[in-house]
Amino acid sequence: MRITEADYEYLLHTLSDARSRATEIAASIGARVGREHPLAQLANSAALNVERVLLGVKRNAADPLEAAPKVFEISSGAPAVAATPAVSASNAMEELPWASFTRESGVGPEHWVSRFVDDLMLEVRGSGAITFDTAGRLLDQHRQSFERDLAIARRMVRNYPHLFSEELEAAGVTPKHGVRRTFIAKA
Amino acid sequence: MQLHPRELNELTRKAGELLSDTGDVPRLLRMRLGADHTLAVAAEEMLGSIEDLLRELRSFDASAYEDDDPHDDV
Repeated sequence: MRITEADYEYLLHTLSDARSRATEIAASIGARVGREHPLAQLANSAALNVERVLLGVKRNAADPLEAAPKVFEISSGAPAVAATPAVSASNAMEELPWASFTRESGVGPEHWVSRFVDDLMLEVRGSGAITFDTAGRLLDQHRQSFERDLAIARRMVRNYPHLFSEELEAAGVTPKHGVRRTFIAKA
Repeated sequence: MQLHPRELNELTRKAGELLSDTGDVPRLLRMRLGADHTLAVAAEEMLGSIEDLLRELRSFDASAYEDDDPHDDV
């Protein structure tokens, strides 16, 4: 059995959301008890593990045939060739432009536009076509995800400015409240 | 630094929700890819690490990290 398109949609949505929440929990704990505290390290470990699974699912979605032989070996014992289509996935990947998008555009792989292009091309691979509706839906999903992450980041800077003192100073931003300055001075 | 009991409760609640919301991920990957697939194993580890975090949060003694510094609450 293979991972279906609906499975990928569920996994990517769930894990993206979980990553944001796990990172927020880890930052909150680290700010309160210190980053070296075992509790903060546990929280960081959980956040990293969520990130690892999310990246794994994305890689799997980009090249599902990598996983297919294992599926057949493990679950049914049928030969791996049974899952091999006429065109190999790796060749198809080379022919499609998104693999080089990050390199050619100069934006990092974690930038929202890189993720958007990844998802767009996955949709092309899955359905063999792309529509304005699909592209618009994906763009909306990425916009919502970006805005959610941005809100979390702003809340983190507002609540725990001492964690971002170097970045704030580099940006020439002075914390507004005396309490925050006290925090930074202590740090 | 301080960790009020109410903050601890909030963090514990969030970690509990995280555990609940990701609980189906390992099950789905195991079912689709097999229990030995690296992704299924990674998902089990992910869930285990969230469980560990939740357990530690539940047993954490917040009073040991409370700070009476009045400036913190200004």
